Amino acid sequence: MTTITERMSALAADLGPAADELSAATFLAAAAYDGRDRDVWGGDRALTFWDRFPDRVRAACYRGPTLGHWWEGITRDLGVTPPTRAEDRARLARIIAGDPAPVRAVLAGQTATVCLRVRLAWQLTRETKGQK
Amino acid sequence: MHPLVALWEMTGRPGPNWQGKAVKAVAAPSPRRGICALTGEHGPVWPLNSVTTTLTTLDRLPHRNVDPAGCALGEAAAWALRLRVAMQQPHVAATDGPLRQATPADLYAALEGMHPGAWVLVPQSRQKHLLPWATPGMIRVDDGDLIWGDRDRAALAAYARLRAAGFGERALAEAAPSWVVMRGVADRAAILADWPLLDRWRAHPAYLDVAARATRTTRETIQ
Repeated sequence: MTTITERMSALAADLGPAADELSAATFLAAAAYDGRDRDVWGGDRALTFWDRFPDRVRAACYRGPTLGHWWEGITRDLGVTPPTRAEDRARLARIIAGDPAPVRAVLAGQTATVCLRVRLAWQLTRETKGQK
Repeated sequence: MHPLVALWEMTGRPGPNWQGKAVKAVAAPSPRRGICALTGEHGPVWPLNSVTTTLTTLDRLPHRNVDPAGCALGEAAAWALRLRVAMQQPHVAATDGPLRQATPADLYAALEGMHPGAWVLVPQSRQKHLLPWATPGMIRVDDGDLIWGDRDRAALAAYARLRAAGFGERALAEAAPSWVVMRGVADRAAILADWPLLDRWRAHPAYLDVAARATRTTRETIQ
């Protein structure tokens, strides 16, 4: 199974290095996407997931001032389970404990870009898996 | 000399198009001596009502109170106000060249080589006069003059690259590239690098309209 960290590395390899806050915001959105409740977001609802996801990412920014509030909000909204791999959990914890303001600004202001990067990361890693 | 009069002379002192959309032949009204309300030049003038009756305000005629015989327009101003195609299609003029209708390629070249004496008119609604109020060195659109600098040149090049990559005019106004186009593109890093160059324009969409007019193919251009 590909970890979120590996997917982020594949994304960075394809698009070039991104600013720290953009990488952190992308990782948060990726963790939310990866851990979403698939019973709720499967079937027909999977078709509309990417139309709904940006609004939820932005809405979670208004739960409170810290990234802990953001993660709490998106967890409730999408039924997210925390990452299963230790390295992903550690990176998530580091980001949540870090400076919230720049990452929140990216999550609220460049939501569409963040979601696009998450989607690209999954597409990239799916392609490389297929090639093996 | 008012810049509009200079442009009119460079264009070969064309007479106003008195015929307009009228079906029957229209005789040119006879001028009197006076002062043009738009340019302030002395010479033959026609009363405002003979030239146009569709202006919604006279505030934009700076010399409207100068002529004691009433508000009137000279030859250059009458030509500019009655040149209907200039309300509908992009036009350009170099510093010492005539005003001419611009194809998308002409408009692109004019924007790339924008200089202080150049005239660039880009209609948006096709219903507003641009030529009488245009300022050389700036881009005239429906509601004002746009400043055009080096950053705008770079943004125009980025716009053209993104159009060539498959993004439509509406897609380029969005905050992030659309997934549908993005998943089929080979060089995504270049797309994501070009995308933020248009952020300033997204806050002022008239710029996006100008760039769209300059990058259309002939098939997309309504004549």
